[in-house]
Amino acid sequence: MGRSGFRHFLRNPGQLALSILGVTLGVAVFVAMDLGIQSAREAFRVSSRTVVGEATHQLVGSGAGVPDSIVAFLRGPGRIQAVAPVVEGFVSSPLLPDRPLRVVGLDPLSEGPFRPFLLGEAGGGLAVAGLLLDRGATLISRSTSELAGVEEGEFLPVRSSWTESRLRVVGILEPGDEWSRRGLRDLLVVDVAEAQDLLARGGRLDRVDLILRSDSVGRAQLSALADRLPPDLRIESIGVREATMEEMIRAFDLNLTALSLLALLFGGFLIYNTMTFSVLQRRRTLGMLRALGATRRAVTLAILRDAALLGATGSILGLLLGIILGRGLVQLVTRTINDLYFVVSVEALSLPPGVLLKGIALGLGASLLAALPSAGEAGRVSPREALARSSLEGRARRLVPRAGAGGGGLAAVGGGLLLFPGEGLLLPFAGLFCVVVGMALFAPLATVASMRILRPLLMRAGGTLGAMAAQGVTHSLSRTAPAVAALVVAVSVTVGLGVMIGSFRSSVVDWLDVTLQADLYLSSASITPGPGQGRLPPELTAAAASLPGVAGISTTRTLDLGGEFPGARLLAIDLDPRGEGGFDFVEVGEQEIFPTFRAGKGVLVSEPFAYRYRLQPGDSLTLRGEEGTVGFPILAVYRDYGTEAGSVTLSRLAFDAHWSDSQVGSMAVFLEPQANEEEVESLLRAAAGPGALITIRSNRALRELSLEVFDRTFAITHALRVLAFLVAFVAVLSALMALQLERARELGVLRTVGLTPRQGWVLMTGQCGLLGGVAGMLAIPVGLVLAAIMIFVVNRRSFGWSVEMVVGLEHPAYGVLLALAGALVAGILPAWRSFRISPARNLRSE
Amino acid sequence: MAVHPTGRRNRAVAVVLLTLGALGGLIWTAQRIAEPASRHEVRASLSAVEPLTGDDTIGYARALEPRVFEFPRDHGPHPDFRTEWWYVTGNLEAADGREFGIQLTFFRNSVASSPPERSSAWNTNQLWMAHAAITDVANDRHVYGERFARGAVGLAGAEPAPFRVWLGDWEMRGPEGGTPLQEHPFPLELEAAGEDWALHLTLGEGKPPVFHGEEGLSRKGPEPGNASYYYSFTRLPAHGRLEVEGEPVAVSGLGWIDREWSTSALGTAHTGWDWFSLQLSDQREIMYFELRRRGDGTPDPLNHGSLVEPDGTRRPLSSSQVELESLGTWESPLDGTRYPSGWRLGIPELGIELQVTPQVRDQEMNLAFRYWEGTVSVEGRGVGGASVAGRGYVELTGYDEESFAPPSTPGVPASPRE
Repeated sequence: MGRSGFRHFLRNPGQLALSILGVTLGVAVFVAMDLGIQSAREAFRVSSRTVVGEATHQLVGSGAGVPDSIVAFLRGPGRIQAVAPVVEGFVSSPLLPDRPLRVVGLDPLSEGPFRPFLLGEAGGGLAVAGLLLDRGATLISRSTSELAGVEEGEFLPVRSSWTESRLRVVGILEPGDEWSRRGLRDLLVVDVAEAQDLLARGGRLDRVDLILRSDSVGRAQLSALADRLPPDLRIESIGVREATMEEMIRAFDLNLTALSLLALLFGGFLIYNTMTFSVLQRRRTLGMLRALGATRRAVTLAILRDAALLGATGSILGLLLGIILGRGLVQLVTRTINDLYFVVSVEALSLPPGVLLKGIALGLGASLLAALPSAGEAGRVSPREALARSSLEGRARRLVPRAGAGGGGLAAVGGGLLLFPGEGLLLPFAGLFCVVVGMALFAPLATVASMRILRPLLMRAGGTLGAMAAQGVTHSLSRTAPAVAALVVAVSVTVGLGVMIGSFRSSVVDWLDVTLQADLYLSSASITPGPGQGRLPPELTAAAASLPGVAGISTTRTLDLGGEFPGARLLAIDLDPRGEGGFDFVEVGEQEIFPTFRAGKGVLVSEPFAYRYRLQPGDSLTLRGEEGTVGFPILAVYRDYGTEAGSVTLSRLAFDAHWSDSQVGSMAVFLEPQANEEEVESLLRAAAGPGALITIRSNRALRELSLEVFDRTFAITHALRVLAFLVAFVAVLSALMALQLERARELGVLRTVGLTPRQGWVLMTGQCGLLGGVAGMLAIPVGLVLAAIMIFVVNRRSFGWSVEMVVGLEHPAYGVLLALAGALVAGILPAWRSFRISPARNLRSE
Repeated sequence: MAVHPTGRRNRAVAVVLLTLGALGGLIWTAQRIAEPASRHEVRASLSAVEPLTGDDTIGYARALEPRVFEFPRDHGPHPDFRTEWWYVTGNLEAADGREFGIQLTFFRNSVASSPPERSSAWNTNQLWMAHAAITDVANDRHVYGERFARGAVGLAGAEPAPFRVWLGDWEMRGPEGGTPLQEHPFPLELEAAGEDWALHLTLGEGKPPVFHGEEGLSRKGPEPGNASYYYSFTRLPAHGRLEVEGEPVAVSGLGWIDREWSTSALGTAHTGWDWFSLQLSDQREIMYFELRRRGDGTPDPLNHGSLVEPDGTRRPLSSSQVELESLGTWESPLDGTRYPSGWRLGIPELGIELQVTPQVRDQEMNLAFRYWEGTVSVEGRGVGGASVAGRGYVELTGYDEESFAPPSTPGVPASPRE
């Protein structure tokens, strides 16, 4: 019996290949997505831990960091001795293009208990002196040295947002293990004084690392310290801090996971298809075996074993392919994280065993699960029944309404889940899956119904041949129904994601139109996105407003809000009246917005911020100023797609009253009507002084850049869309191939009664076209529902953004075309094969 | 059906093995990559950096000729010189007669003649190191610790008036300043603590400062400039509180302060030195150091010292006047390094004949810079042959050969005493 299974597959190598490909693709997409996400997370963890070292706590500030003097305070009488200042930031180097280099400024003398590996063991005294004494001295890792081609004693040119300089490599860090190697990658270790100069952070540290004992002494120290700290500083345990960072990417993560689950769904579908077809095709053989005396159990087990073997082979190939795909995906994931959250550089794919196990479990499990009904059925049918095809189709037809009802029920349950209020994303995603799967189950019923409607039309248009095409679809429902369902899911996801991204993009475009009011935008030449990096030269901010051609300026200082608002930003704006229109308010309070805002008597919050912290105009928002907490009434909520963690905008006046940070990070310049943009730009550059690295972008350039980032963010979604379609395409291909193989005899009969090859082609492609067309039509409503769910439920809950759903004609049309094209392409090969063979041979296969 | 059961089984087994093998391989690789955070080994290879203390004295001030000491100014730092220290030792006694020795030292080191060109407040060429130790004689215990910091952003430093030398929470602090400025910073508060020990002492005013060598210029080598400025307060009343293993003890006794600054490193001709500070019951004190010459270890003729009379006047001691003889050795349990232990110190022309004995044999300071520094008891005959007793401190450096290679740790002067 085992042989019969193998022989079946060996006789149909195409079928075998497709079966394995199905499992392979399903597993691969899932594994690739998962690896992409996990690698990015892992890379972030590794690099942050390398730099965290043995610290147990960190002292951080809200906003502009921590003053230098805090270190002496912490080490003062009776306080803590394991105290290490850290200044961190990013620079770039022309020798290492496209790789932000992480500068870590440390006080070598404080480092002993924290990161001995960064400064070497006891013999590292020389490194200490070198870092301390040589201006521009840095330690780099072996891999960075090799990549940049810079040896010890040589210079590494770097560019910060503030200045260009050369760092001298005074030592090479030789990581002793893979873990350290990854952590040290793209890391420049410099003296804390060097880092402050390089990153223009005079007087400020990014954080202070502490080692506190975990016993009661440590806790007592901690609470005593907390009472005496300036109000804007706080001590966080490393665990909490890491959790906060991970929290930031949680929503993003979840979205990707959902997408990979979608891929899993396709994979499962595909495996199911494969197994069902292989059983269907072997029905005769199996029936014969039963007639020869094989027990039911033997038949069932034989099929399950085949499924396990197929599943195992496919899973292993899938893992390998997934790892290869993962390499590509991880780049996309990394870019998105870099654009939106924080800098992380992923060198290698990390391969957590969990992901691989999940992949194998998925492949094997889905194969067995998918084979289960067919195996059960194969065992159950009587030998006579098995030999007759009609019984199967009869059952399939009877199943259609039941599947439709089940699908409708599932969709209803999904809808219910979506309506369920709450913050989590699990329910919406579960609802989403229910809706999609439910509608897919509904597809066969819809197919039958539409064929019934189409048949007379086709009869009129294409004569008997047309009617036969429609009939063929209905008559081999056991093959066509899963194919249509697979195609519906694939195309609807394509349509849905397309509409979602399109709507999102158009909302962003509208928002940019409103927000970008000024003519020129100045920022320090930032290496990485995100706040706190750059500052504009004070000379420039002082002079800009009075330059000829300049009508007015708005300046902004952006800080990390941190604390109870992880990831959120604080924007201190000195707002030019011309810039007032730049706020696209979604909710306003009763007070007059701008006069109150200017007077420092209220703040504006972004939509995600308001959503996340359940705030609305009129509520009070408490911020940590340097001298204590300050409450501000919320005047209005503005649209902002810039950061999902949210932002709070405050007038410069109010900011200066509670924070002692005088820097300006960016500036918007409004020009006189007749002014020449380029002339003003060169005046601004001159005002910044020689050597100052500032970026000046025109309104248009900034707009384009913003959209570029947006598109990049969704690149991964696009990639997934393609993958999903690919999987569905293989499913359809295998379904149609099985169908056409089945129908070889029918065609043979038709040809002997006079069907010309041309007519045969028309019949076959007509049938495929019908399948594709029906799937495409069905996919449109499913896709729109999917898009609506993504926009109004998932997106809203994960980011708090309101997006207007925009449905152009292009996405539905694209969906139908895709389905048609997919079905036709998938039908060509089998059709071509059928016609290559002489009718006699087709008949002989009987 | 099951025509070749063996073949089928083989095939199934092969597939299973293949699957398991591939899985195992993947997981093994994965785990290797995802190694936990517990061990990171990074070796730094560093060669392009110049050693901390070379022979390069360019840019530094030198101790070339006697100077006019001016107080309180000279109690403060002299950053133009490479090395400087504030060195307190003391012998104390509890009410029940238990004896303790203490040491608290702040070392300042200019690791370059000028700070690098940076604008950050953290920028400096000043590195600080502090050592502290308590010897609990009765319990044969010696506890000690060290601290490092850069001389910037308030982490460590020295100020002449009001007098203060500090590194983190370790500190020597004089009284709040008034006008006119107080010449010497007494009462001087000392604070230092480690994991399971602490010292809080007050040194009161005692004998005036003694200027060693030629009016405070103490030559260490034949070349000009190979010398230090060196003065001491040799007898200061001390009282306060010590804690060893959490147990506080009120103590009182005598303290000694050494102040020394210089630029030149110890000449290559020397391997180390033995230094003695003895406080005798006849109200006299003796300071004497012996530089040991490389090779035979014989004393250098430049060795010198001071005998301080009860009224504070100084009688210089030269190597020709002093006989110093080691009576035994002590072997460090760490690596077998042998230190002399117990001496005979004689000054025949004055009738002085003293037996100097470590109160605890193991008072080795196994720190970034390794040496032996500890309390000693003194017995014998004083000036004129009268019977005297006393306490003191002895410092022995350079017995651990490695520590005389260029120092391996920042802020460590080429040697604690030149």
